[in-house]
Amino acid sequence: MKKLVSVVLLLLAITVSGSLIAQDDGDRLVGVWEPSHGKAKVKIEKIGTKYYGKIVWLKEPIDAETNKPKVDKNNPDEKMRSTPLRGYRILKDFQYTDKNEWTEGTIYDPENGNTYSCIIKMTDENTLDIRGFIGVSVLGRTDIWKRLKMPSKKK
Amino acid sequence: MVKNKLIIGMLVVVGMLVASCGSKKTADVNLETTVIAEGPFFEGGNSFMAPITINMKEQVNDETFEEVTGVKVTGVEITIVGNEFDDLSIFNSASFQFVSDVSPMTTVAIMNPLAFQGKSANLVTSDEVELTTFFNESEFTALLDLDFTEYAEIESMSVNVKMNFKVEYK
Repeated sequence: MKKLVSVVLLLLAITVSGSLIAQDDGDRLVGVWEPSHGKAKVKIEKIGTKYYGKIVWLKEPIDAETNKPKVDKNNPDEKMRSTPLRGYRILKDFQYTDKNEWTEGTIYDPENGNTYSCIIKMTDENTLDIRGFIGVSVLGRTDIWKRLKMPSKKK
Repeated sequence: MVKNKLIIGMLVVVGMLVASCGSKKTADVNLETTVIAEGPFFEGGNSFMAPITINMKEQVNDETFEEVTGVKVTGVEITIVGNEFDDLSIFNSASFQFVSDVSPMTTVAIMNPLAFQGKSANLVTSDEVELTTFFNESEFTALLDLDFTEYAEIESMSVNVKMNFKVEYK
């Protein structure tokens, strides 16, 4: 009986530690990232169990036509078009799958107002393959994002 | 004879459609929560959150309630709690969302720039937003993004949020 209890406790410990490791693994996505075009910086954070990325910096924050901070002027919902682009969540609802991949999410392109299915793959600690697609992932486009490294604190 | 059977069949189908439409009911649902964030607050978007739990049976006051079939947001009012800010022009814009583990994050209302009446502002609500799954989940998170024009060194801050919905259910 004692042996059985020990085995059950051991299995439980393995399961719990396994899920904790998976959680920590997923959190490697958290940080500030720069798409290849260099026009924006995106901060990825975790809310609940899912990951979201919002624009925190724009190379050209002012709209040349209006001379005001850029807004989401292509949003399909007309009433939402005054949402500022700085702070806008373009990555939504990503879940970690334990294969260096975050899936089930979407990416929004403010340039055309379209939302695409998206898979994020971490190729190394500082590089992401962001693949946006419609329907199946074969029919899509991949962009490479680089982690923005914070300057180390002076001692 | 065959024609009569066809007509009877069609009448039955129409009858069933009418009956299913008739079983839908509507109710006004008002929710209120206080979203909180820890400071300091940086220039740009700062996120305020709070969990929301809905008991729809109680909300619609109908024992026959089965499930929500449609939701339309009709109003979202935010009110700054506390006296830390004399000048509310530090708040540039607001975006209010629902988040859950099951449903995709959904923007419910926004305002840019924020126009306060006293300490309150009525946000612009979305006409197209789909919130049915949140109401059927009954537990989700309210997320308010407040855009600060400058850094504010405050320990924590709360914002009261009043929401009004027109809910269709069966």
